[in-house]
Amino acid sequence: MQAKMILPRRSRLLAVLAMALSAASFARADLVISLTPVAAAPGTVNNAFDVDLTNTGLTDVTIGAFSFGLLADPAVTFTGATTFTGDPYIFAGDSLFGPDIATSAGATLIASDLFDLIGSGAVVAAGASVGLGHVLFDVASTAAGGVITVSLSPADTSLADPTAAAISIDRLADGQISLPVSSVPEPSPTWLLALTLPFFAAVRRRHQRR
Amino acid sequence: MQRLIVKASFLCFVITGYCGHPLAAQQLEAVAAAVGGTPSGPGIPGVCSTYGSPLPIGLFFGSVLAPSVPQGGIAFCGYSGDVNDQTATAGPVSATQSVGPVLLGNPGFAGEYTGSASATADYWQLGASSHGEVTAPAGNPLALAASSGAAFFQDTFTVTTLPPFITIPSNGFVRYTFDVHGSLTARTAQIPFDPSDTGANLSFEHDPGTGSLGVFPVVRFQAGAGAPGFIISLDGNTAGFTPGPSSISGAGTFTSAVPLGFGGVADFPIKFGTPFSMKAGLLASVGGDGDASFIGTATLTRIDLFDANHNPLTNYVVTGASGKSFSTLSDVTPPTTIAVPSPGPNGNGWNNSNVTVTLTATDNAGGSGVKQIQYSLSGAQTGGNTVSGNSAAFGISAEGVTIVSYSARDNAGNSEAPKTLIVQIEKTPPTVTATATPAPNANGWNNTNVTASVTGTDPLSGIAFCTAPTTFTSEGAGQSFSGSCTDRAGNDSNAPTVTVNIDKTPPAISDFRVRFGSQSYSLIGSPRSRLPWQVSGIQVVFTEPIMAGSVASLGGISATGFSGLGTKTLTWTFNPIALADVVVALAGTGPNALTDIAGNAVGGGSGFSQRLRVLLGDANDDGVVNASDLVVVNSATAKPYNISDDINGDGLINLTDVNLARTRIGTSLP
Repeated sequence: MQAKMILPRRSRLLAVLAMALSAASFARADLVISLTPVAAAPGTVNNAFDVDLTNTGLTDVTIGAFSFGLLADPAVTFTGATTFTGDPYIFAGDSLFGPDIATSAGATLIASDLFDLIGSGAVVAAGASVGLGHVLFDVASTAAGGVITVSLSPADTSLADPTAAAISIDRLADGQISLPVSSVPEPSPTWLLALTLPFFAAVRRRHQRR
Repeated sequence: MQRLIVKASFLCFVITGYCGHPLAAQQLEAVAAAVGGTPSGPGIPGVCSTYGSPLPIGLFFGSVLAPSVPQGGIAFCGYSGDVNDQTATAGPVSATQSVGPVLLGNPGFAGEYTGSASATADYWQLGASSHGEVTAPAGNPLALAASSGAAFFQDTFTVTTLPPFITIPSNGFVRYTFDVHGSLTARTAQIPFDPSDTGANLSFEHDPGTGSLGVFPVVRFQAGAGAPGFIISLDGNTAGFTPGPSSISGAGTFTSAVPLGFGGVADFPIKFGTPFSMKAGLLASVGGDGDASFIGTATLTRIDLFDANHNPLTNYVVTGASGKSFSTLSDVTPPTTIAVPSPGPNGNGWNNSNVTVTLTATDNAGGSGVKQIQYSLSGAQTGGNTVSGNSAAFGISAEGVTIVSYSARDNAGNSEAPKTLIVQIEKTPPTVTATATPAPNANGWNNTNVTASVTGTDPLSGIAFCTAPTTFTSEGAGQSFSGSCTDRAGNDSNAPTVTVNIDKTPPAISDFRVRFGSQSYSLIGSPRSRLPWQVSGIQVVFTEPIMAGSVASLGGISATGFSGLGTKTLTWTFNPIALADVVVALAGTGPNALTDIAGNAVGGGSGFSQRLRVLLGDANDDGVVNASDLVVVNSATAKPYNISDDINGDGLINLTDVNLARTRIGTSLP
């Protein structure tokens, strides 16, 4: 079994050990798939955000294949997905289908990729985060301002190890596409802090007197 | 009266001098002689110029009219022809002889002679005839042209019934009565020593049991060329015969009674209790050109008995050793006739071949005897006849029912009431058909027990019995049944053999495959719950050929194509299905039922169903298409072919299959 270390760099022996440990403790991994927030304007094209996989657990995880699906407001049209992610692409250098990994686009998007070496996968070290796809989208010019939630479809999103065993995903974190809205005055955080600090100081003094 | 009786020895001495020897038992004799030609032997002229009949024939009739045979013999004298002498104890016996044409002198100077004679003898009835033709006068004065026929019967009589007042032994007398008819015709006298005479002679010899009293001529007829015929009889009676120029003919009755000069008659002595014998002979002779025809005409018709005082007796019966009898008993009882068909009918009263019916009549004991039998046929065969005597036989050959009516009549005129015999004949065998129930289907097969039976029709005698029906319960082809029917007449007919094919076993499913791409996959024993392919057809293998079915026999999926009917493998095709959870059914009932050659429906009528869970791309059969399936299919590209990973069904596992699975990411079955 071959593995490719992404982050942090370890010795080769440790990599093998880590992969063995991870294979024995998939259930204990904490894997989160999330979307990077992005701002876009109505009527724009080729906007992008990344779909990332973060190993928040204590053990490494070896990924042989993945898929994800996205749903969004009708104002958003997904146009594709590539391997050009901000974080290192999970199968960088070993992508079977990259760089274009989308299999459907439009109102929904489904993308998937495999590690190109049969029987091997990419090791996602504990605490590491890797990119699963760089999603391109257009925003309709009629889109209303505000935040558009982009959901990860549970049915379309999956992970598998090199033996094809499914890897459970602990959480699918939806993302947001922020669209500009018309200007409305709001208190700044500094001003809110300045206004609330005297209140907390008074409460502290009353406890000390007691 | 007693004075009128002439001593037998006197008769013997006076009339013939041929007496004294005992007559033998019953015998028949027929003699025919035909001799002609010019003498050339060493006996000429002494012996051959004198001719006559050889003893004892010559002695019986006298030398003049006896069969003409040269005394020296035919060959010795150089004549042509011969004497044919036949004897027997059972009649009738007959003899014939012919001669000529032979020359009666030197060639060119004399005529030719052709002669023939015949004789027939039976008990109590005689016949004789002769014929001669001479074409021109004889050229040789010693020429001979003579033909004679003579017949004899000799019988011994026993008086079996006598009036009670007759004591035994006691003397009595007997009188024989004969009926005679015939004719003589003499033509031109052309031979010097043969005046072309024709003659006939009926004589008898009587033996009262102590030795013959001699031969006595009952009646003589003679006709010579150029002279009128004449008749002379022992009893003096000539009635019934008419002499003519060179001829005489007629019919009359003549007895053995000897008229005495003083008005009485003499009869021949017998002794009651002692059998007596009589020999009668009839001669018909032609010398030269003429005819003597007395064939079958001299019949002993009565035997009258007298007591010692010559008083006629009644109520007696005289029975000959020959079996013939004469009775004067008063007979009021008709004879009884029995009819015997041969062969006899079977137990149903029918025959299947020609039948010969023999009627045998028997008169009552002491009766007058059976005179005749008459019968008539009506119905299928018609006809009839009256036959003299006590038996008659005839054949019946017509098919159907023939009614034979028959009766007999005795000599006393008593007629039997008609009886009937029904003869039923059928030679035609019945018409037989064989059937199988229930009838086979259009393929000639049954799927249940079959009862084969034969039925027959026979319009004439009717059906007596047929082969019992047979029920076939075993499965198999070519089971045969042969049967026949027999009519009441015994005629058999075999029915055509019935061949029974039985298949009770419904066709079963031996394989159930789904088709995808160019591949197929058997669901029989498959561990898969879902099918990861785009299914485009179903192929079912049955345990036996399916003969009936259609595209609509597959339910659950709308099939667009169907093939394989008549084979074990049927294939339905339909638009490719990538995602489905359906139950497909093979029809076991209704118009689209799948049936074998015998009509057995799939599943015994309940059909067959199979659940299909199609999830394209679900290589790992977990119910959802996801990254795991991609790894499975991709890994399979480096392994031996595994059909479960051949997502597109092209026989290869490669990136095309992985990509096809990728397009199905997220799909699942409920």
